[in-house]
Amino acid sequence: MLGRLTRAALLKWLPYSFPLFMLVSSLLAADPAPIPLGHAKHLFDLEIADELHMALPTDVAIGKDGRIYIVDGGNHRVIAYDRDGKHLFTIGKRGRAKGDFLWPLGITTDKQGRVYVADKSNKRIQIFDADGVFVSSFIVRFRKGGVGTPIDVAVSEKTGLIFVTERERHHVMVFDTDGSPLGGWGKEGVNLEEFRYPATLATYNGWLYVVDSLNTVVKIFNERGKFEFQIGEWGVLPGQFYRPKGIAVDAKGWAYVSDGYMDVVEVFDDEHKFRYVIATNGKKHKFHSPTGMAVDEQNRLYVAEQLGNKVSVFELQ
Amino acid sequence: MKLLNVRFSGLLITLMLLFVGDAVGSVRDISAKRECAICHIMWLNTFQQEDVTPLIPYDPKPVVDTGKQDIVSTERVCFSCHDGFIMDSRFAWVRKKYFHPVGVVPTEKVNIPTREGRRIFPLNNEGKIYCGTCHSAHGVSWRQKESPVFLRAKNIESSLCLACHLERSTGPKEGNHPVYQKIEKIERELVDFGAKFGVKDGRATVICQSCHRVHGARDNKALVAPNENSALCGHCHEDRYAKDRAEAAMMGTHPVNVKSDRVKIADEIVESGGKVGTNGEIICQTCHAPHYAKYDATILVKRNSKSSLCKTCHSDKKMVEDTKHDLSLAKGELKNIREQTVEEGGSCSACHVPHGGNGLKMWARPLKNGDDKVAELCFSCHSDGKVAAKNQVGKETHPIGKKLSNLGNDIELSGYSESGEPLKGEGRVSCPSCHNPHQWDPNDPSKKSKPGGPGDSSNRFLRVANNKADSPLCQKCHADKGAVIGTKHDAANMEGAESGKGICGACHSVHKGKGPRMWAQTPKEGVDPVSSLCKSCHDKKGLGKEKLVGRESHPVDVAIKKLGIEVSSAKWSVSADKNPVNKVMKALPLFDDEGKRSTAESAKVACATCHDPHRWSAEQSTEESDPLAEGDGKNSFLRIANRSDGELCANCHIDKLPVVKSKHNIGKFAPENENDLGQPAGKNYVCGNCHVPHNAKGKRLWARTLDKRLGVTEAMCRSCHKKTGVAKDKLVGDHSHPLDVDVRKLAGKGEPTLPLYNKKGEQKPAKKRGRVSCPSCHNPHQWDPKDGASMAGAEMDVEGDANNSFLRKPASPNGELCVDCHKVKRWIEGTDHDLAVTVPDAVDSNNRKISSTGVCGQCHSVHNAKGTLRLWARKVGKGQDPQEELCRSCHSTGRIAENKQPVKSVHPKKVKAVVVRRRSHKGAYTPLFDEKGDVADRGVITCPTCHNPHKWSALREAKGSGRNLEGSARSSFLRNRSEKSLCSTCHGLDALFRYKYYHGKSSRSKHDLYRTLK
Repeated sequence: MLGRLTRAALLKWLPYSFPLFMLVSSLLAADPAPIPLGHAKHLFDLEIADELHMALPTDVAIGKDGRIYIVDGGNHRVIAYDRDGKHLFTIGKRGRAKGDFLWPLGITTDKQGRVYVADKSNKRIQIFDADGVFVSSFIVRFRKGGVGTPIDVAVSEKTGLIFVTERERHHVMVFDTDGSPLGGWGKEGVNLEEFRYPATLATYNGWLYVVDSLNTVVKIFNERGKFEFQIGEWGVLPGQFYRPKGIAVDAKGWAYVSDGYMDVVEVFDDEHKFRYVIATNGKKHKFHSPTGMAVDEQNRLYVAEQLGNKVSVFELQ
Repeated sequence: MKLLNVRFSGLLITLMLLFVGDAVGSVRDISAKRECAICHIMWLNTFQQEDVTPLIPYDPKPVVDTGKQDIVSTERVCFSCHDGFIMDSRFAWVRKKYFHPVGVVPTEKVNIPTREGRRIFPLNNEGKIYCGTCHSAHGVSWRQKESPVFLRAKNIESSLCLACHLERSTGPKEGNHPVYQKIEKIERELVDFGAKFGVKDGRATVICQSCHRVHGARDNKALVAPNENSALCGHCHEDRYAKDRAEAAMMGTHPVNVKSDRVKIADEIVESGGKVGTNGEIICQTCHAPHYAKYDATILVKRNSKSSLCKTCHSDKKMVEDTKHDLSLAKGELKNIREQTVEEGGSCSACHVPHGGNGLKMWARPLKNGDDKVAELCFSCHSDGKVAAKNQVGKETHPIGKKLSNLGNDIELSGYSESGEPLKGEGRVSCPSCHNPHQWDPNDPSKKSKPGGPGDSSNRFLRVANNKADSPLCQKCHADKGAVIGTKHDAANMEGAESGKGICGACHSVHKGKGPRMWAQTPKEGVDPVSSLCKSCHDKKGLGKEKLVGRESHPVDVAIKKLGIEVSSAKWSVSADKNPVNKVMKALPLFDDEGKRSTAESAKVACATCHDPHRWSAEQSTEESDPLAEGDGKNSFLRIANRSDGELCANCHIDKLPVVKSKHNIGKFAPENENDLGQPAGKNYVCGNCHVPHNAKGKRLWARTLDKRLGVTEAMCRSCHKKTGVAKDKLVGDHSHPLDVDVRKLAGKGEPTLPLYNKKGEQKPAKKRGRVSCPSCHNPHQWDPKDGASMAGAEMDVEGDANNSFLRKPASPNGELCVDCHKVKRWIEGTDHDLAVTVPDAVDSNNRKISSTGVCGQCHSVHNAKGTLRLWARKVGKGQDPQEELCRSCHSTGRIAENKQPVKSVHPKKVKAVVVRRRSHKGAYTPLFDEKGDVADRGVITCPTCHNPHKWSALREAKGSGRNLEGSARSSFLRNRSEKSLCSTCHGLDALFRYKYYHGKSSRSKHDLYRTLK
C-alpha cells in the first residue's frame, strides 16, 4: 500500500519536482562562503642590493642568525640580508665559474648555516658558508646516469641528506652530504609517487614536502621516499591550488603554500587541513606571482614575489 | 533581477554538475577537462558556483574577435608556467620591456594575413596584439623541432614574422635590410645573444631573427643585442664598424663611433630619420635606415644620387665640382673600384666610397703600397699612366712624411697620422698639408677650374694663396725662414734676381726643383750637395759672385767625427780630454752624401752647418744689424754669433777654447793689432785674429801673411813671434831647439806622441815627412797643458815655465815633454844628474831652479841657450874639449859637483881612437867627439865617451833611485861595465890587467901615469 501510494505520489508530483526543486533551492540559496583569512602584518620588502634591483627572485631561505638569503635569478646571484633587512653581501654573478650562477632557482640552508643553491642552468648545487664563501658544489647526476635540471634543494635536519627537485625526469633526487647521488623517486605522472614538474620542496621533522606544480598538490613523503600524505587539490577555491610554487613549514608544522597564478599564500595546519589564506589589512593579501617562501624562528613569513621583483616579509599572527 | 538570473543560472549549472560529476577533484581524478583548464582557467565550473568564493574573480578577458575568451593567452598565464619552475623563459621577462609589442593596436605597416576573411593571427576584442595573436597551443604539432611550439604557424626562418611584416623583407631597393642573403660568417657573440640565422646552400643567411628577438631582446625594436651606437650592425658588418677614426681609415670605411666634431651632422639628416649615438656620435643609423628607407634610397635615410647624401654633411667638400678634381670633367668614363663612373656614383664617388674603400679616406681608386699612405691617394691620379700624369711632382720636391713637430710650435697647417687624420701642427707632412683637394681657390670656393687649364700659386688647390711676396703658405710652417726677408738672400735685394716668385720661390721650386731642397737654381757641379746649392749663387758667375769663399776656406764635406765629436740623435758630445772647459755643445746641422740632414756618425759639415741662409743674424734682429751691410762674425747668416770668445768656432773646435784664457787672445792684450784682412783684434772674435773661415791667407785658414821660406806651421808662429810682430817680446834665441828634424834619428824606439808636421803644415807621421815644428811641442790654444780652464796664462806679465807656456805636455818636473822624443834620456830622473835629487836649489844660467825648468831644463835651454852645443843651460867650466866643458859646468871646483871630479878627466891624447861600431851591438858604444863637441867617428876620448850622463847604470834600464848614491864600476853613468866591456872595447884582452893595475891601490900608486896625474 505504502509502496503504491509512494509510487503514485511520485508519479503525480514528478512533473512538478524539478521546478519545485529549483524553487526551493532558490529560496534556500545563501551567500557564498567567505574566504577564510589569517592575518599577518606586513613588515618590509627586500628589493635592492648593490643599487641593483632584484629581477625575478624565486626563493628565500633563513640561515644562521636569521640571515635572509634570496635567489635573485634574473641577476644570477644570491643576496644576503640580516634579519632587519640590511644588505650584507652578494654572492656570484652570471657565469659558469665556481661561485657564479646561471639562472638559479631554489635555495635552502642547513643547521650549520650553510647555504645551498639550485644553480639551474649550470645543473649543479652550489654550497656556501653563512658568509657567502664558496664551500663546494656538485652536478645533479642521476644515479643511473644522466644529468638533471635542479629546481629546488632541501637538506634533512636529521641526516644531512640533500634533496633536489628535478625537472627533466620529474624526480626528487637524493644526494649524500658529499654530493654523491643516492637515488630518488618519481616520474612524470598523476599518481601519488609521481610528479608533474615538482617545484619547491621543504623538510620538516623528517618529512619532505614537495610541491607538485601541475598536479597542484603538495605531497608529503618520508625521507626514504614513501608517500605519506598530500595537501591541497586542484581548483581555485580556498584550500585548492592552480599553480602551487612555494612551500614553507613553520615550527609547529603548519604549511604555507604559495600559488603563482592566484597570487595567494594558503595555510594548512599540522593536520594538513586548510585554515586560511594570508591576509593583511583585513583583506586577502595579493602577492605578485609568489614563489619560494620561508618561515623563521620569530614566526616571520618571507615570500619571494617573482613578478613583484621583491621578497616581502610578514609577521604571522 | 539580475541577481536572480545569476542565481538561477548558478542553480542550473549546479544541477548539471550533479549529472556530469564534479570536475573539481583530486590529482588522480585527472580529466581532459582539467587538462584544458590548466591553461583555460576561466573554464573552471567553480567560477559559476554561487556558494563558493574562488580565490580569484571570474574574468575571462580578453575576448578575441572570434568572440572566444582568451585569458589563456595573457602574459600571467604564460608566466605561471614559464617562470623557471616548469619551463624557464625568465630571460624574456627580465628584459620584458623589449618584448614584441603586446597590448597595442597594430600600425598600418603591419598586414595581418587572413584566411576566409578571418585573421590568421587574431587580435583581442580591443583590436590589440596579445600573446594569443601569435601563440596557440592548438593546431600545432608539439613534437616538431623546426619551430617553437605554441605558435599559430611555424616560424621557420622567420616565416611567421614575415607573415605580418612582409614589407620589411623587400630588400634594399625598397628600403629594407636584405633578408635571406648569404653572409660570410656568424659571430659567436651574436648567437650568444640569441640571434638565429637561416641556411641556404650550406651558408648562413640573414633572417628577421638575426637582428630581432621577439622575447628576450636586449634593446628597443626587439633587437637581439644592445644597439647602442649601432653596435648590433657591427656584429655582422664588422668590416664597416670601426671603433674609431684610425681603424675606419685602415678599413677603408666611413668612420662611426666618432663625435662629429669636424663635420656637423646636418639637420636634414636628422629630419630624414638619421640617428646619432649616445653622445652625438656618427653611427650606422646616421646614414642608414634598416627598414622603410625612402624608396630608391636603398637603406639610406636619404637618397644619395649625385653624392647628395654625402654633401649633406660634407658641405665644405662640394666645391670640388667643376674643378680639375671633378673627374667627370677630366675623364668622365673613368670608373672607380665599384665600377661606377662619376655620372653613376656622384662626384664624391670618383675618389671615395663609403665602405670597402682602398685604405685611407675610403679611397675609390687603385692604390700602390707606398710609404706615405696619404700621399698615395694623390698619386693614384698624379702618377705615370694615370689621369693626372701630367701634373706629377718632380724628383726634387717638397718632402712628405716628415714630422711637422720638427718645425717647432705654432704650425698652423696639419700633418697627418698614419690613418690619415689631420693633426694641426703634428703628424707627418703630406700633400693635403698644403693642398685642399676639394677647393681650387683658397680665397673663393666658387672658383672653377678646368682640367688642363692654367693655375698658379694663388689657386692650385692650395690651402692658402701663396702668390704674395712673403710666400704666406710657406710661412705657415716655415715661419722661422721668414727672417730671410730684407736680407741679402731676399731676391728683392739681389741685383739680377728673377722677381715675382715670392720670397721662397726665388730659391725653391716646391715640386720641380733642380737640386736638393727643391733648389730653383742649377746646382754647382763637383761639390757636395749642400755646397752645390750655395755655390749656385756664390760662384764667379752667380748672383753672389762678390761673396766667394776663396781658395783657402773652411773645409766642407768632411765628417764631424774627425774632430772627435760624436753625433747621436742630434746631440753632440766629445770626450772630456777634448773639452777642457766642459762646454755644452749645440748640435748644428750636418748632412749626408745626398745633402740631407743627418745625425749619423758619418754626418758631414757643409756650408749650412755654420750658416743659416734664412737669418742674417742669429741673435740680433735685422733692425739692429743692417742685413745689407758688410757682415762680420756676429751676423753674416751665421747660426751662432761669433762674439769675442769665438762661440761658433768653439762649438766644434771645443778643444781650442782655452785660447780665450791665454796670451794668444790677442784682442785682449793688443786690441789695435790687425790681422791681414784689416780686422783689429779688439773688435774681432778670438779665433778671427789668426784664422778666417773664408778667403784665408794660407793654410789653416791663416789670417796673417805667412813667410813662404818657412814651413807653414813655423811661419804661422813667426807671423807674430817676430821682431815686427805683435809677439816681438817672445822670440826664440840664436840657440834654439832645432826644427824640421826627423825624430827617427833620435835614439829610442817608437814614434813620439807629439804631432809632427810637413812643410805644408799638415800633421803627418815621421815616415810621411812629418818633422818637428813649433806646434810639435806647443799647443797655441792652451796655456797650461794640465788645466785648460786655467787663467794663469791670461796676463801678459806672467812668465811661463816648463809647466805651461802653451806646451803640449809639461816639461817639469820629469821632462815628460822632452822624453816624448828623447826617449833614451828618460832614465835621468832620480839619478845624481837629476838636480832635484842632488842639488834642488841649484839654478841654471837664467837663474831658474829645477822646479820651473824641469829635470831637462837645468842643463838644456830649449829656445834661449847660451850655446849651440846641447843648448847648454849652465855656465860651462874649464876643460880640454867642449864636452868636458859641459861636464865641468858642475864637476869643477866651486860648482855644484865639485866633490865629483875625476883625477884625470881626459883619456891620454896620444891615444888615437876610432869608433868601433861593429861592437856597438853589445852596448859598447863609446862615442868620440870632435873639437866642436859633436860626435865624430874620429876624435878625442872625453867624458861622454865613457859616460852616459842620462843613465845611472848600464846594466839597468831604469830611473834613478832618487837618492844621492856613490857609484861603482857598474854604475856611475858608465856606458858599460868597466872591468869587462867598457875597457875591453879598446884594450881587448889586456883590459883586465890594465884595470887591475890601475884600479889596484898598491899598483896604481906606483905607476908613472898615476904619479903624473897626481
